[in-house]
Amino acid sequence: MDELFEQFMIEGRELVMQATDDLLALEREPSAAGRIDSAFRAVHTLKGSVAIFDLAPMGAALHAAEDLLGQARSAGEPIAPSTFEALVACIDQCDRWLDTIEATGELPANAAKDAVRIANRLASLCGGPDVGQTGGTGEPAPWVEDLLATAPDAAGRKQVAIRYTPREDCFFTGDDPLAFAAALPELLALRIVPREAWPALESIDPYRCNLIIEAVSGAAMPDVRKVFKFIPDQVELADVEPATAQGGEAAPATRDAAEKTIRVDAAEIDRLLDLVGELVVNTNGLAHLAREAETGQDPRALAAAIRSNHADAERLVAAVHRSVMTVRLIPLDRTFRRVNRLVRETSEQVGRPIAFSVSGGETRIDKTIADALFEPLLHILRNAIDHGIEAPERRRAFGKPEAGALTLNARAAGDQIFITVEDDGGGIDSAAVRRVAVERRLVGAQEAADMTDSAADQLVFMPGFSTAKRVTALSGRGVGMDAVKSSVEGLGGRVTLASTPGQGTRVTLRLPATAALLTVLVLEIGGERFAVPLDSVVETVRLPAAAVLPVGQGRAFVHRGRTLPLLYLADLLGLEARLDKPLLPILIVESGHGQIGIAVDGLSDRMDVMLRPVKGLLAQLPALSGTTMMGDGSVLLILSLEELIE
Amino acid sequence: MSVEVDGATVRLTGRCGAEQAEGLLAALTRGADQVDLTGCDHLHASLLQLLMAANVAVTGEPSDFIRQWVLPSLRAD
Repeated sequence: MDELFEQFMIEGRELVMQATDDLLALEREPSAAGRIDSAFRAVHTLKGSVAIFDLAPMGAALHAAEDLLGQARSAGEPIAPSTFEALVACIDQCDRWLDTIEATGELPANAAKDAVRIANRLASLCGGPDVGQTGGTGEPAPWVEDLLATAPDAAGRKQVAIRYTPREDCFFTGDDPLAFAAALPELLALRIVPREAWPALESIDPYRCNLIIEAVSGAAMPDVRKVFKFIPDQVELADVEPATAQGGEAAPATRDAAEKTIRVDAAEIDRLLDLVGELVVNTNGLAHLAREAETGQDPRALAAAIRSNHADAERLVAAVHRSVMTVRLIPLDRTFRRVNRLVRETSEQVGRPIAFSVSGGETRIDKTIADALFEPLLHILRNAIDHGIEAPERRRAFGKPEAGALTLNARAAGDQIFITVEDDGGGIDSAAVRRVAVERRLVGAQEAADMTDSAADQLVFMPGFSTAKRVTALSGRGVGMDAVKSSVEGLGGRVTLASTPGQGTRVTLRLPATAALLTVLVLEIGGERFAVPLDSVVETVRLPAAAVLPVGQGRAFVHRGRTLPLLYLADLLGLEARLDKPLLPILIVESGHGQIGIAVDGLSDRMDVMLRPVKGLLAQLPALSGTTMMGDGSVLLILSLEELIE
Repeated sequence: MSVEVDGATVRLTGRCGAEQAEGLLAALTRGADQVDLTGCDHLHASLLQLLMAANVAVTGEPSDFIRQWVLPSLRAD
């Protein structure tokens, strides 16, 4: 059950994305017939998956969407904007339902009402139910969910779904389709719909049957079949397994649990298996070497053999690591498509039309990063819509197109991924930023006045900053760009912002493509070893002890013609410093207020480590970003310099 | 089993079969906009589809099957 549910969540998301993608493509290019087919297939498949679970309202909404798409497909005409909107609204709602299902395992309480509204809206756009496209043979009749939704006492028992399409000339052969329906044992639901839209009364042929009768019976299949004994060709019957509450309770799938799955190319698994095979050979080699050692082999020859074995093992481990990292890389597509819907919603909420374009979704990034990017990205996009892009009247006055242009782009450069969000709005009002920052005592008045405009713009990243004049439901919730900054930095990335008044704002996120491997610099302090991420260190210098200048209660030193504050890492960590060396090793790091120097006892080597999250007691320690295991089995603590300096 | 026309109201009573389809259609095209199903034991599918197509108001208490299962489809349309 759990596995099935997880699979459903993965597929459901993919299908929703596919449908959204197709619909958005159709909006741009209404004549793209292939997209209608693709959207139809996605909706049809999703509806089929939904039918497996106790999600009748979602099935009903999708059924209506499928009917409409099926009709558009066979009509071969471009989809009208109103139809398009209704379809997107339906898919968006399904996406929201998936969010809820993922979190709670079931649909929200008001789902039935929403589904009815959606289905009605779609049905009103549909000239008449287009039955030609639905109810494919072989699969459990998916149209049954909305029937079941109308028959509350139908749930929880074994049923037979019936779809009876009487022949057009059946009245002449003496058949009365309604009499068949009346003869059905244990009827639980019945719905009668026209096969084609009704013609005007004047042109109607009263002897041509234009009905479809759909029903659900609680009786056994043979008893139902008996009713249609003479007209089996006109009836589709399907067993419906009871939809028990199991679906909701047995799968308390939280968001986290479901996000833990990943789709992997089978070729990658094969490659991993090959590597494991080689590792087995390598391990066997060790056993052989041990026997050689026992028989008193020449130690030199033995050492050479062990070294060669070690070199092989090292190569294999590196290859396994690379392969696993590749497996963890997923396209940003998934994250991008999820923000798509929310951008549309935001634009509607604040009444600012947006032309949103997304590119680079194929860029691959570590799964952890892709998942964690969703929130910050959404925040940046909402900020752009809410604060960046001007109201339509204002845009008209400036001679800009009414719809604000918002772009989201990703590209890879080496092992870094750059994600940019760019709008063509009013840009950042540097004067207002300065004023607010001073008001909130984030910077001194003089300091603010001395800043360049672009430096002042960066103040929006400071905790406690928000220039929104009005608190909107969107971005005025106390989480500002500082939250974006800290989450991006938590992923090992950097965020920068550039703004041109009157022309727009660009926010750039620079992220490592792979998260799990970190290059660190190993340090010695007070006889212990620590490490700091190498990318937080601008450079390292060795300073003669005499060059340290006492400044008030602190210390400073001159570096490249500038005076930088100097902190002792031992002090920050509460350890005993050993400052007995003639040359003091110093790390130059970037802080919120320019560069500073951090003195350590000694610098050791740099190494690539697999960062493990801090757990248990260690998690209480501030400024610890993770741990890693050293070759000798000891544990190395990785410090977060930014937090230490704060 | 009859189709009676009383002004703008059509009354269907008893077991109404396919042979009454033409009569009902004629009444509906002449402008009858209300159908009374009181005492209707069964409605042939051909009559039902005319009621659906004409989208007329349906009143009265027909037999259980018609009332419980068929009328909802008629009203939903």
